[in-house]
Amino acid sequence: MSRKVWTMLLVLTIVMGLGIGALAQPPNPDRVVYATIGGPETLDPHWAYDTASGEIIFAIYDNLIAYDGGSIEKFIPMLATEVPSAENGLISADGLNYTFPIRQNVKFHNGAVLTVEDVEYSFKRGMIFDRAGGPMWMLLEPLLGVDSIEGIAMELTGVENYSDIFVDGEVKDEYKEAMIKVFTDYVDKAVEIDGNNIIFHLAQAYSPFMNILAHGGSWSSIINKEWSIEQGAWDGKADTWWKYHDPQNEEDPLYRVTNGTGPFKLVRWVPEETTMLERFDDHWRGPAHLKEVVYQYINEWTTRKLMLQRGDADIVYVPVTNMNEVEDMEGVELTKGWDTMTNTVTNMPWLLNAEGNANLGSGKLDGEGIPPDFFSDIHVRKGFSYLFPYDTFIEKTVQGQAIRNPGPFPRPLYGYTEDPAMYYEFDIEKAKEEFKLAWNGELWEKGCKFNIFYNEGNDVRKAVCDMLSTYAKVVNPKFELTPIGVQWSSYLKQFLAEQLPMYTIGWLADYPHPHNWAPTYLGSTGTYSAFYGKPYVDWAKENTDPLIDKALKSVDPEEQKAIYEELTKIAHDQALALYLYQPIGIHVQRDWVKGFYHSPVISGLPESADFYYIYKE
Amino acid sequence: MLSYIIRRLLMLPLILLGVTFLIFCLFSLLSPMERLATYINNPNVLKNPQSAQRLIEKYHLDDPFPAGYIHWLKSLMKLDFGWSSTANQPVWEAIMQRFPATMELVFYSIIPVILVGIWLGVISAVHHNDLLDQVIRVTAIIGWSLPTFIFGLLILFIFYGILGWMPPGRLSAWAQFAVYTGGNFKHYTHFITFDALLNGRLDIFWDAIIHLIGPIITLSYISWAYLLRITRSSMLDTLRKDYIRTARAKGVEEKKVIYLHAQKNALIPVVTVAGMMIIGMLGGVVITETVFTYPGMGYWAATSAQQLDYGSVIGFAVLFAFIMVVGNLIVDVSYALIDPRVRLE
Repeated sequence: MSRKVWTMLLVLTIVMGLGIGALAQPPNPDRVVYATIGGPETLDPHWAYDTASGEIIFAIYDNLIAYDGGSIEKFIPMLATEVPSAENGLISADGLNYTFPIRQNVKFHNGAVLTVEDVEYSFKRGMIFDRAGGPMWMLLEPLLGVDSIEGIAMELTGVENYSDIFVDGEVKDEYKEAMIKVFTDYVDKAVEIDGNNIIFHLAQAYSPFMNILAHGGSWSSIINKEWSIEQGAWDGKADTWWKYHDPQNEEDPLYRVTNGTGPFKLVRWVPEETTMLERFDDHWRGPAHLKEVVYQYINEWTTRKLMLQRGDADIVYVPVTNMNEVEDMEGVELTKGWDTMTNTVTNMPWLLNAEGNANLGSGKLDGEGIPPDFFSDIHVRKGFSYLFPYDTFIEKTVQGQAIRNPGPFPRPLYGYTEDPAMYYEFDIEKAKEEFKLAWNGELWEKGCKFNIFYNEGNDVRKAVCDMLSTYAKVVNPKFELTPIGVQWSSYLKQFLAEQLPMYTIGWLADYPHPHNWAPTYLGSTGTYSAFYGKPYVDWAKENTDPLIDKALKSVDPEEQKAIYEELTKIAHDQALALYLYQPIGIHVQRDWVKGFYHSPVISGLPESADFYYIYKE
Repeated sequence: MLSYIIRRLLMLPLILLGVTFLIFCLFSLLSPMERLATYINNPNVLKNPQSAQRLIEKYHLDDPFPAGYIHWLKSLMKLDFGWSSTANQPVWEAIMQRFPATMELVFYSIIPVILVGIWLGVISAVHHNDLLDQVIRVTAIIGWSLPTFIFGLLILFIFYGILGWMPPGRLSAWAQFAVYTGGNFKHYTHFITFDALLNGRLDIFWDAIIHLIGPIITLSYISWAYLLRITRSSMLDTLRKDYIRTARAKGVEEKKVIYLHAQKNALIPVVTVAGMMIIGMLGGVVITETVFTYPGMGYWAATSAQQLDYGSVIGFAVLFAFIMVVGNLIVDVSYALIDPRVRLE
């Protein structure tokens, strides 16, 4: 080989060596780059209801209280100086009044000083804002006893549809007084100022109320009143609130501007590209270690991986399925076993909408289809509960990064138990027994044929369908379950139309309290269970709703625990769903990143981090 | 020619109307519940069955087709393209933010595409069936048939993953802070490379260039292979023409025959193809932008279509139709200018 070629190779080797050698030291010690997928939808805390928005808002805004580190039960004061409790008298004995003394000398990013009026404004603005599909029901339920402020408006005006109150965008004269009352008699009375205290008056005792207030990154964030009004947000008046209620995205004045008291302030947000934050030096807890935090939204996994490898990204979102690729990467730390507040189930609605529903085959139990009330028979549900290979699925499909849940409640919430009697195990013989009992033996004799669904692109859910389909054939060759992958839009449409016989879906906690799960999966009006059909809704009204309501209003933790355990038993005994798994999270970072802790309730964790505590060395 | 240009430009609004009408027709085939998926990425949003109905009413998803279309046209009159739920910002703003990045990438990519494509095409034709021709053709076939995704990842893996030379994205984090904070960096053209030079920031210029090289190589390699094939066949065709034979018979020097007599004429059809290729590249950068995390139009447009975000799809379609019409017009005009035989009527 010629001297030229050798020289070129030598130069190349030196360059590569320099590149790799440089990684021994952390580059840019004052800046962390977090490479993840999907950016925020908004920066308005009262609009935000997605994890990505929550992550950014969490860094920019503060709440009255927060969770103590990784705990989901202990709280610490933030913009309040004390955590209310029955013992310190800041929660009334009936559980209806919560008092928060407000911290002094706290500055917003624009230099304004936090006042008790800011806190009052923040919650009232949130309640009147209440966008469709937004998170504010979480405050409206405990404070006003409704899940939308429109409910009160319709009640006071006597109209059937909220839009009937308006003509050409203005409130009709005959409804104006009632609309003002919505604010004066309800919203205004729910949050009051008493000296330097803010007092919440609840419409009903509500055991998760403190969890709702402590959840960072959204509905309970404290915003600056004067600044918000300057930006064009609600002016604080009773006779204008409806103009600021449920705006279109582009009409929300706070969707891209921020002014919090949190440790970082916004420098730049380019949706789906990057969010750049800068340290707020006047933060009341003292400045953060890092000067800059950069979120890079990179959907392509290989690119994120190479950035991690090169040290251009300090923390990276790694899907569990790609975990093996970073496990032995030099200079990279992978930690596993972090609890997450999410779980995945396969639902079996008791009554399906038969109209135009091709998923039911013939629509009869004749071997060519199923009747719409196929899953109302408990033996069918139990049969399928025994038919799923839970442990194999966790081991093979999600690489062991998950645990089982006995019912709707994930670990470590009340209702979660490790009692083996509360788990269905994969057992073909028991499945056979149950199926033989179903539909008075007709099912076993004639067989069944129907479609089971997953949303296209979700390989884990596809695996669930494939396994169910395979084992159904094993248990009885006349059982034909056809897995079908559909686009999310089609999945959603069929779900809302109650046309999906068996479908797999997950739930991510709004707040870490069993009440966020119980109505969802078990109640008569839950996000999922309301779509199980009328027989289920009627059954739930009698069997689960009273228990859910009792636990909600209980102020005794022991009593709550017992009720949620009872609900788990009901879910198990009735085989209401296939409770598949609760993912266990992983966190991947360069080894020079320090200060990481996990909290299952902070948006984006364990993949991301609480950047206030993060530093590089 | 002027009247031809005016006539073509006058047709533009009609074409845009047709495009938007067609897209609206397609979207109206979906039920309100299917279109609702754009607003529900997370089941938590569905607090109860009433929540879905509230969203359908809020976003006019159950409006009959004519009402929805008229509503959109009215907004358009106010230069309001609506909201992009995939970009999480107004459609027009999303376009303005991403379009310059894509334009910059295409601008730099087209230079090697045209230069290398035409040069190799001519060489290949001149050395018809020689070893050189075979090598060039094989290389072109590889470029033509290699999936962009694979080639892009390969470039990224070698030149970034191993050598650390060509990082993904448009700028490094430090450069982003320098460009977007403090207000000292002025955005004259929104082409980072140009703006960096105009601001006298060579460090940012260099950073932008090293971020562009990977996407440029990926985008141009795939495209020059196509241009090479067109140039080669056009050149071969021209070299067989009578006037070339005459020139050779007259004893004109071979170089002059090729580059003066043949190449000029052979490039006439190439101009049309190259013009359309530039327009096509604007819409076809999806994969390159995705692999290199380059924040342009491509990735956004593809995601919007996938998520039934009709506001974005229409915005993108309107822009693309506009570019297509104007681009076509430029190609036609330049064709007439290059070839005196062509008359635009």
